[in-house]
Amino acid sequence: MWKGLLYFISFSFQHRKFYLAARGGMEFFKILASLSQIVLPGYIINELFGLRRAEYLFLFILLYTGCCFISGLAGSLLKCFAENEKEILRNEFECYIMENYMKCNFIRLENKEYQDLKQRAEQYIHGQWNQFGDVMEKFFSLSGNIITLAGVAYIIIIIDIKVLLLFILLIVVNIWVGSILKAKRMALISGFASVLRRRAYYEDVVKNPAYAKEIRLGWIAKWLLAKYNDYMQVFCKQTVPIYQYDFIQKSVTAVTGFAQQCIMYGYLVWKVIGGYVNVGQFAIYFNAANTFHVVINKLVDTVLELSKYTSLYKDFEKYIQFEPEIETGKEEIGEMPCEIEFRNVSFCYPGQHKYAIENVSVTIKKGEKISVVGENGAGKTTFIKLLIRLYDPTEGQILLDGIDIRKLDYNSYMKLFGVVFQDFKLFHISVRDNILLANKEKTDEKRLVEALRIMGLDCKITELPNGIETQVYKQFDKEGFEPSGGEGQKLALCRAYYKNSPFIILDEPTSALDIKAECEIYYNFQTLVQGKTALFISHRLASSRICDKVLVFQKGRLVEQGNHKELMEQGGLYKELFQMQAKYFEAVYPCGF
Amino acid sequence: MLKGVKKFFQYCWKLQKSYILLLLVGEICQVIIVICGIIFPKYIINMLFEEQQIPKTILFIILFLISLLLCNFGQALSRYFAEKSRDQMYCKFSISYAGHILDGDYQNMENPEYMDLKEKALKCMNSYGFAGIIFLSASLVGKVLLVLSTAIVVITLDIWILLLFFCLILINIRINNYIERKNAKLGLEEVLEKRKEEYIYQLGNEVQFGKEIRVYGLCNWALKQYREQFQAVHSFTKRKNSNTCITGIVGSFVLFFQQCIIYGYLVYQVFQERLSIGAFTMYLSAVFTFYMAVTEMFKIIGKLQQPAIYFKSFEEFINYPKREAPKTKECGSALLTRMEYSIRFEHVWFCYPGQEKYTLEDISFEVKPGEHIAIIGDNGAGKSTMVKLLTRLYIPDKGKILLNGRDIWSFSLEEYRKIFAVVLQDFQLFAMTIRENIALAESGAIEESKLKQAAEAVGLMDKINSLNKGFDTPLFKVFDEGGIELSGGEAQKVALARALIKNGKIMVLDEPTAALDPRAEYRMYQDFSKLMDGKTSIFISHRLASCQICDRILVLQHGKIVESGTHKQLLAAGGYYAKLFQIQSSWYQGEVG
Repeated sequence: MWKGLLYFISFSFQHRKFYLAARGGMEFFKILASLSQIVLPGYIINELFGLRRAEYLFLFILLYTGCCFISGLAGSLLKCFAENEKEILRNEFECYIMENYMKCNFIRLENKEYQDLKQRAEQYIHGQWNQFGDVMEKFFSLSGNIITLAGVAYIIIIIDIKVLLLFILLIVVNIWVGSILKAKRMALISGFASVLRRRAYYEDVVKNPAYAKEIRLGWIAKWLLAKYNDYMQVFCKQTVPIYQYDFIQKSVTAVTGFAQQCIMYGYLVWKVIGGYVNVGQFAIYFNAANTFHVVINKLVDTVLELSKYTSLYKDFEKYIQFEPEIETGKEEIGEMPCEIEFRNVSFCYPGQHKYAIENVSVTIKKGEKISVVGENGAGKTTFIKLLIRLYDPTEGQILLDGIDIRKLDYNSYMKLFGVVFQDFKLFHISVRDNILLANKEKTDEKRLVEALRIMGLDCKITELPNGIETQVYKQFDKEGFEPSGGEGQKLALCRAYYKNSPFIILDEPTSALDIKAECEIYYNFQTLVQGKTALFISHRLASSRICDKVLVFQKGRLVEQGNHKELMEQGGLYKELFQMQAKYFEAVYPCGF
Repeated sequence: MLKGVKKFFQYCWKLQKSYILLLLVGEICQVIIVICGIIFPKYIINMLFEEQQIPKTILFIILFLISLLLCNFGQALSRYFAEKSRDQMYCKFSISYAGHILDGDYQNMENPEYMDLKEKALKCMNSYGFAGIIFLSASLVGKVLLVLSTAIVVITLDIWILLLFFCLILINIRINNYIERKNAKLGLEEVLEKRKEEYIYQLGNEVQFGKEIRVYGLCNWALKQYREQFQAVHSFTKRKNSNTCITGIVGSFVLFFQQCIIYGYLVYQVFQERLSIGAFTMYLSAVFTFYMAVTEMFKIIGKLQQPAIYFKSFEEFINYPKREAPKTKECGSALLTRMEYSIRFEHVWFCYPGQEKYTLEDISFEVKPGEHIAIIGDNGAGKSTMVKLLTRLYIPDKGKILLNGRDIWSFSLEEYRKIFAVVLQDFQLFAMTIRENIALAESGAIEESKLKQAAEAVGLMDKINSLNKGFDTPLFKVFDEGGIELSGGEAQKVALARALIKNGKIMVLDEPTAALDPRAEYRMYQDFSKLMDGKTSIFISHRLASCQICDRILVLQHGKIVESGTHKQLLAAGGYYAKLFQIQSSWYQGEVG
């Protein structure tokens, strides 16, 4: 727990010192207020029912009201300041976690353990109810409570140290019960993560427009709601024991409180009878004992709450340092990267037994246009992911100009590739920004316009209400532009074209395009990939006609390589697949291939 | 505001009475505790210091402490049951909320205004917590009781003091409320900015964006966007915090005045020998408790303003207008008696809400029972829109759509949707088992043989057999380490199997082979007649090869039907279709270009 706190404190200190100062100030004034509220009224009463000296009376009353006033005033101002700083701190923290996530090894994202850790890491920062920095808040309350406690304990010791010791004994009983319950609670909460995830998933499915059509057409609303309800009920059942523990805790507190009050009253009455204590002192000690009880309970509660964060912090640490790291070297890439070689590359997903890619060896020469074909699940996409270093090979090497790519600087390597994925994503930003993305510094306007023209989007874009500044998707802007499947794909292609990287990779780029657009792609393919090395994954074997070389994958292996003519002559898998597609056009043009 | 809260209360009362009642019990216990703490000490102190009656003192002390113990115990118990009840209420609310969304018109999901509204309605639930509002209301009741009881005590002293304080508090409260209202408005205004912030947070934190982020080096860009968006949200936060600070400062001033007044008054009374010590302490604590209770009471009322404003959004959300279904001559849900299913579009015009141009213009065509027709056309020509109109997701602006001669809007929605089996272009699979993804709501009752048959028909059995758990393998890794990720083509096969299992009388397939490999595509065309056996079907595709297996083809261009006929007829006609066919076939024949 302390490690977690320390981490938070040092992070805050690094980024936002004023938050710590302001929050500390708030606690100081709280302590001032509590202590003056215990002590001063007693002096007032004594004076009033004792000597009745007007000046002293006036002084005490002024002191009392003055303390309350200043604490209130300062407290409000500091709180305002502290809250603002806290928000900024939250942002810093979230950026930190985001950065970690975006820069980590891609294969982690597909790892359930990592996802779990991430969720726990976020819980650490945001608490259970989405209050950022709950840890810090609790820490400050804790410190404030401890100091108040010290003050109060001092007062009680003046009466009799035995009383204090008895109180402490009662508190120990409370804490002992508390820690047993805490342990049980912890055990339960760690089991919640998966149920909470399921519940969140169903919440999303129901709210998310992406599923809306599917749900209505399939008439599965009731069925989904039933499942959603089931998971929620499971969660409800799981949380019941926690409430039971809370109840036990509170009952124990009530009983110890009762005992404490009995002791205190009994003792004070006895002292009053004996004439040792006057009414003012009675009031002070009374207040002190009550405050002691209240503060100790708050303290114990806070410690219990803080301890929840211990295990969360452990997961947070693990998350930040999760293996595998991306092995990045320092070697720079030469001016004109020439060829990439796969040498006996095999890849297997962690936790799987079957190889997704097995013993693939191929050389991609500079300027080659390569078509990658094969049936679904044959390993084409995995091959590409290895090429662009989203994965590292389990066995074998990938070499760029003879150097193992793991020795090269990761970011520089990524700059070599312009990719359009099968499940590409457009962002809720302007059309222009979707194409430029991160390369906004030096905008090549010519190339931007060219990209749109080549992909056949220039007319559509000029028709839009804000032209190229129109937002993609309507989520944040009613005047946004909802691209059809094909338009979206064309936009993604613009993006790859604009990047102007030496390698360009297209993964099923025409699957959503109509014939006219697909035709445009093929016709413009030369322009699109001019001077570059290109890889084109497609089912439509028509694509292999425009490429220099074809790689045929089957069940994770590279089974055939060559150009279209060679492979047709070979009479293997390629020929079989090609003829299946061409069959329907035979009737019209029955000349041979 | 009261109206808003009242409505809200009624809504909750219907959902979960017990929660409200349990909270009230807890509040009553709390009030008793406080009142005892004010009244008992008076007697105890007087008996101890002035009358010196020890046995009576001890009796009163015991009575006092036991009542405290019992009330504490009662409070803890009611809290326990209340929390369980609250969880149940949360479940019911979530289901109800989800139900509203799913029940609403499809076009809501494409309307940013609606999307905002549903988020605001949800805020009703989350910002204070749905239960939080009830909790506040119950607290309010408690505070009101407290105010009344302390007022009674104070009246025995002097009614003018009571009224004076009440006025001072009222001034304080007016200022508070004014500021709370301003904050609530700010809260609503910042919703859009917060949504944008959340979106960017998603970008950096979700798996689906992982590839793009790495390949295009978007990490720093995303961070920059996030920081900028944060600033936008932060400006709202700062304003809200400043407002809250002002309330705190005003409160401190008011408290200061009050304390001066009451101490002054009571001291004066003591000087006049009109008050005993016990009475002094009692009135002191009574007045301050009164002050706190009234302040708290108004604070809660103020806090309830915020959710009351959200509740307005919530009401709007629940009562969001549904489009008026077009009036039809026939009504009622007479079941379809004939087993043949024919479709007819009669002069249908359609324009998306908010658009100026018509997407579909004067569409008229007929599909005879058992006929297979293909609809082809460029992207944006209106093909998917026709499907949406046919499946009653949207209402045509002009014209009618008939099923078996009856207006489709005359059928009950459930019955109508069951007739269709649709595979969308952007179909979705769920994070459930393959069996559940295929059979959906019927997955409990479906026969294994039917499942196998459907999987066999789409070429999925090989994949199923390769999995350990076969049909019970979960998809996606969201919940399950053992979950699998399907390739694009495999996913499409699942969607096709889903349509087959549904056994709809009319099949609509929108680009069903876009992601299939040549072998699977070939197979689908081969088996098409078997798959669509006897069913009326509509096939939307770019792949002209598919047109040949259909009986008739419709060519859509810019929202109009430009050609219609059989494959041979259209080739002979030498129009647009013939041109497209020539282009596509040339890829498999001579040279491209």
